Amino acid sequence: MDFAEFASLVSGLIAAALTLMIYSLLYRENILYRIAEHTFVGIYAGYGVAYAVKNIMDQGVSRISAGNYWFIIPMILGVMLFTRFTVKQAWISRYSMAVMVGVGTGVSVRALIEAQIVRQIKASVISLYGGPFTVIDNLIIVFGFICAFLYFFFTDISALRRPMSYIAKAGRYVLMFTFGGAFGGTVLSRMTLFAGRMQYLLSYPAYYMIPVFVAIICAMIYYDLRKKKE
Amino acid sequence: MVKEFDPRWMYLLLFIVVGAPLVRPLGLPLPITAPVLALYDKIESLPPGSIVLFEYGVGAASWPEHGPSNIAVLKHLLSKDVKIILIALYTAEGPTLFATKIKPAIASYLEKKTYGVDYVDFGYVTGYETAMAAIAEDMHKALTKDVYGTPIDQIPLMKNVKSARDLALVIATGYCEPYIRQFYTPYGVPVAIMTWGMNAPGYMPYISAGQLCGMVAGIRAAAEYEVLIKSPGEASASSDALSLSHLFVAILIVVGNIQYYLTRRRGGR
Repeated sequence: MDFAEFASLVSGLIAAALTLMIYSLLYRENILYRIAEHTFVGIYAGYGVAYAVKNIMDQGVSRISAGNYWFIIPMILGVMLFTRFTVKQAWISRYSMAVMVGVGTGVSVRALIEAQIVRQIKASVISLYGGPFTVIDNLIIVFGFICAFLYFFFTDISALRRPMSYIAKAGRYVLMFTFGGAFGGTVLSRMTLFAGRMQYLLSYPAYYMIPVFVAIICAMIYYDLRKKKE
Repeated sequence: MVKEFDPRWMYLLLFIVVGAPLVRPLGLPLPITAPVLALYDKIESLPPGSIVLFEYGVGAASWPEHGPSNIAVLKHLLSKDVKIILIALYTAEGPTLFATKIKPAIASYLEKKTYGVDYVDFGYVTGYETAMAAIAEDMHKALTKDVYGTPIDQIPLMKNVKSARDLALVIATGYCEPYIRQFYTPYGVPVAIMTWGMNAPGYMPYISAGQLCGMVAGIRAAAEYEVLIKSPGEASASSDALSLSHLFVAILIVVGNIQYYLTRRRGGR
């Protein structure tokens, strides 16, 4: 076994151990879970800082050293953000935040109306002719769109009277169907992540850690049962 | 009052339900859905020499959702005569996962291509939507060098690629809205997305409106893509486990509702 294979084996076992330590929470809160959780947070923070420094070097320092001196301005704005950690000078960081929020909003808003409002309204204007399934599909879309839209019609008192009240109620059900679908999707997405980890745990060399994990959980159950008896 | 159910039994059952088909696959049918087929057809219809911007912003936590779809779509792109600009915008973890997980999986495809001529990798670029806007407007200003430090002007592939107008397709990972706002709406570049399974219902209106030309949502869709390109991988292997886990969740929901109904009927809360 050469060094690369050995390193791959060790890293695979560590990854499997950390995954199983996290899953040990499903039995109960324990020190193994805490160790894995803190390790993850630490590694993630370290990775983030390392990449942030790399970005500053690549995007800022290298450009300034190449003669693009105006890149000093975003660098100064970045440094100003750190005044947030002081009570007296925290106001200075607001200028940097204002620039960040302003640029971010400006960039996204310029196409937002067309992309997410106009085009979506246009796409709702659909034909009610065609094959039987197309007609049913399109009728559901039109019905759902109108009802959900009118549910948010608050400005007129007539919204509380019939037939508007019925439409608003139907709109509420349309929204509930949508939220139900989104929630179901979220649960099933988490299941995908779980299946992904299971797939990893059942591959080489991760499966060597499974008997160790089972033994630890059995020991925890035995300890809990003994404690309960006492 | 119905006796309180210990959820740990449910977790144990879930381990068995998900683990068993991974050890012994059942070979359940896998019909191809329209958004997946749309992306496949879009790539198939690209003229030779087309430039595709491929965003591989895969995170470690979301690997099972995004990783297999990234690999499958990249395999498809690399099997065609198209030029690929690789970039990570969504997360800084992208380049690490690309090097350790995606690259080994597509190594045989990359061998047939020349770096700098057929594909180029710019690594992680910070700024997300602001970076997208800058890249779409002028790539040579926004991306100074590739992941190996080669200046953009010295990369043959980038000689004729100046802005989003030179792109034939954008395939991204994560959320689709910023790409629609920065590439499709101002420049008319078709956008496809590889996203979480949970985003699929929310992104269907963008497919209907023609703002997304295709979508691979979650590992299930990735498995469909693997079937289309006839290259079974990670997603195909776990599709049975997923189908059974979904069935298990559906059964739990029904059982939970029956329990709730019985509890209420007996005067409980």
